[in-house]
Amino acid sequence: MNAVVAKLKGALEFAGQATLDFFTEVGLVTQFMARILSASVRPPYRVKLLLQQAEFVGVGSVFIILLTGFFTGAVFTLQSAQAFQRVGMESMVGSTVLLAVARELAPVLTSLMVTGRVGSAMATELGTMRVTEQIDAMEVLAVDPINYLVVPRVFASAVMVPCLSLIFLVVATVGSFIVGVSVLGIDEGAFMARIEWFLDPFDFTHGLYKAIVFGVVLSLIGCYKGYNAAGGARGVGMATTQAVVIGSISIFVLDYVLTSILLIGAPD
Amino acid sequence: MSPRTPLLVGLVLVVATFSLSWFLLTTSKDKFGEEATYYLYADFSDASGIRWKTRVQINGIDVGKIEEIKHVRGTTGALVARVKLRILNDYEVYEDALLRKVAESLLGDFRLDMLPGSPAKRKLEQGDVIANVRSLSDFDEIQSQLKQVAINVNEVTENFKRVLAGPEGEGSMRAIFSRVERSMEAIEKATAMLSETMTRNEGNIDRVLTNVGAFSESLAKAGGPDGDLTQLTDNLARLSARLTKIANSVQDMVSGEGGEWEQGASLRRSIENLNESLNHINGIAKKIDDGQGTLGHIVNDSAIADKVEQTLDDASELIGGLSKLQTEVELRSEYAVPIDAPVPGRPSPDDVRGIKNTLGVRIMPKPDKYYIIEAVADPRGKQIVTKTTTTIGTSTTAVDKTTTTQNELKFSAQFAKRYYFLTLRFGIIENTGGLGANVHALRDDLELRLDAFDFSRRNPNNNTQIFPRLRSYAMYQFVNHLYLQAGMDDPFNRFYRAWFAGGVLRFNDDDLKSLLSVAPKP
Repeated sequence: MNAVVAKLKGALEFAGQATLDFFTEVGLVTQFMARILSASVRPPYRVKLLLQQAEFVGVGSVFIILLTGFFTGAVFTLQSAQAFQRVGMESMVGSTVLLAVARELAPVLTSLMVTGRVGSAMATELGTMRVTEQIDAMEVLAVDPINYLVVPRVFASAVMVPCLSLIFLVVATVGSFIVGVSVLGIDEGAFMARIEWFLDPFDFTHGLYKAIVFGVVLSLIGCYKGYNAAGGARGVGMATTQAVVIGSISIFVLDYVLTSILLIGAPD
Repeated sequence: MSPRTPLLVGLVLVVATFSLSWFLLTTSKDKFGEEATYYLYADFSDASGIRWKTRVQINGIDVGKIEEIKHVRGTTGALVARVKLRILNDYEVYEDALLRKVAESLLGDFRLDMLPGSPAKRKLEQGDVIANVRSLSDFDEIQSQLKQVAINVNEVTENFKRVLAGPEGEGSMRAIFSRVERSMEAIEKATAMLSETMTRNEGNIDRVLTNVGAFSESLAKAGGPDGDLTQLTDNLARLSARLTKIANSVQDMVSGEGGEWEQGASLRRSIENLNESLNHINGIAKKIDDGQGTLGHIVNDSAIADKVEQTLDDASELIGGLSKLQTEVELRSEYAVPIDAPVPGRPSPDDVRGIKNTLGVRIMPKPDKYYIIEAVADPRGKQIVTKTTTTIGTSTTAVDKTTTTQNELKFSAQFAKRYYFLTLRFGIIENTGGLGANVHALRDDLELRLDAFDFSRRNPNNNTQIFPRLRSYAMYQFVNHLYLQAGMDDPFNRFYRAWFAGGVLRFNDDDLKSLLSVAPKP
C-alpha cells in the first residue's frame, strides 16, 4: 500500500514539476523576447552583423532550397497527376500543386531546412560562447550580448526565411511545370490557365506571413537554447539537439495555429 | 565581412522580390473586375457543384464568373439559391437567355453555359434576373432519361408477366396455339380445293391456252411482208436515207469538194493548219518529255524542281521575317551628379559629372524578343593612369601619376527577351560584357531597370579589383514617346557613384515613317 502511495506521489510530483518547468520556460522565453525587442530598437544598429547573418541564413541555404523545392514540386505533380487522371482533370494538377506549395509546403519545408542548418548552428555557436564565458566577457566589456549576438540573427532569419520560401515556390513551380507539361503531357495552356484562375494573391501572402513567423521562431529558439546553454560540451550538444527538435515541432504547431487564423480572412 | 556579402544578400532579396511580384501580378489579373463587367442574377433550385469563381461560358469561351451565392425567397415564396454572375461588358444578355449547368468532370464540378438570347428581346441590365435557368445538369438529365427508360421497360415486362403468368396467361397461350393450328388446317384445305378445281376444269384451261396461241399468231402476221410492222420499218428506212444525204452535204461543206462550198474549203484549210500546229506542239512536248533542251531539263530534273521550291520557301520566309521586323530608335540624354565629396589623393568624383548621350536602335523580330545596338557618349570615358618616374643618378627622386580621361564613344549590343512583366538582357554593355533586367509595370508605362557590367573592373590608380558597375533606374512614359528617367549609377564604388536624371525619346517604325514623310527634302 505504501509503495503504491509512494509511486502515486512520485508521479504527481513529476507532473507538477513538468508543469512548473513548462511555465518557467515560457516565462524565460518571453523575457528573452522582450530583451530582444528592447535591444533591437536601441543603438548601436549593427548592420554589418545583420548582413553577415543574412548571408549565412539566406545565401548559404539557397542551394539546399533549390534542390528541395524542385523535387517537391516534381514529386507532388507526379502523385497528383495520377489521382487526377482517374477523373479526367489533369489540368487541375498545376493549380493544386501550386496552391499546396504556396500556402503550406514552401514556408514549412523551407523553415524545417533552415532549422536543421541554421537553428542548430546558432545554438552551437552561442552555446559554445556561453560555456567558454565569452558572453560573460562581453557583458563585462559593456557590450550587450543580446544586441550583438541575438538581434542580428533573429532579424536576418525574419527577412531571409520568407525570401527562401519564395525561391522554393518558384523552383517548385518550375519542377511541377517540367514534370506536368514535358513529362506527363498535360496541356500547357490549361496548366497555366488553371493556375491563374484558381490562385489568388492571398495564397502567396498567406505563405509569406507564415514564413516570417517561422523565421523569427526558429532563430529565437536556436538563440535561446544556445544563450542559456550550461554544462560544458555536453550542454552545448543538448542545446543544439533541443533547438532543432523544439524548432521543428514549433513550426508544425504554429503552422496549424496560423492556418486557422489566416483562413478566417480567406476569400473563399 | 566579405566584400561579396552585401551583393549576395542583395541578390537573394531581389530574386525573392521579383518572385513575389510575378506571382502576385499573375494571380491578381482579374479580367472580371467590377469596371470590366456588369452583374446579373439567376435563381437555381439546385446549386450543387457551382460555387464562387465558377466559370460562365458562351460557346465554350469564358465570359464571366460567379461572384456570390446566397439563399433568397423566390417569386413563389420557396427558398432558391440566388447566384450573382459577373459578365464582361462586351457580352449582351437578353431576356430570353438560357443558363444551364454543365458537368466539367466526374467529380461533380460544374460550369455554367449561357445562351445569350436574341437581340429582338429586351437587353438585361445590371441587377436583372435571368428567368430561364436549368438547374438540372446534363448528367442529371441523362440520369432522369435512363430512369424513365427503366420505368418503361419495367411496365412492359409487368404487362408480359400479367398476360403470361398464372392460369389466365396459360389459357391465353393455349388459345393462341389453338388458333395457329386451325389456320394451318385451313391452308391445307385450300390447297386441296385448288387441286380439285384444276382437275375438274381441265377443258376450260385448255381453251384459255388455245386463245393465247391465236393471239401470238396475229402478232406474227402484223410483222409479215404486208403487215403493219413492215410498213413502219419501211418508213424508218426512208427517214434514215434522208438523214444520210444531209450528212453527206455537211461533209462536202467541211471538205470543200462541192465546188460551190468556198467557205467549206476555208474550214478544211484551217483544220489542216491546226493539225500541222498540233504536230509541231507534239514534237516540242516529246523533246521536253525526253529531257532535251533547257525546258526539258527543268521539267524532268527533280533536283532543279526541289531547288526552285526551296528557293521560293527561303524567299517567302525571308520576306515574311522582314515584314514582321519592327525597329525602334531611342535617344537618351541624362545628367549625372556625383554623390561623394572629393577627397585629396582619391579619384575625383567630378569625373562622373556631366551629360551622357545615347543613341540606340532596337531591332524586334518578335514583340517579346529584340536586339539593342547603342552608341554611348559618357563623361566617365576611359581612364588611363600614367606614371612618370624621375631618376637622377641611381636614385628615384619623384613619381608622378597622371590620370587621363578619354571620352571615347562606347558601344552596346544586347539581346533581350521578355517574359510577362520581366525582360532579361545580356550582351555587351558599354564595351564590356554585361547583363540587365527590366521590370514593366503600369501597362508598360513604368520600367524599372537594372544593368550590371564591367565585371573585371579595376581601380586605375592601384590596379585593385573593384565592384562591377551597376546601374539602377526608373523610366516613366509621361506622354507618348517621351520618358523621364532617374536612378543611381555605380552605387557600390565610392567616388564613382552618382545620381542621374534625364529624358528618353523613343520612336517606332510607324512614327519614323510619319516623321520622314513630313521632313523637308534636300
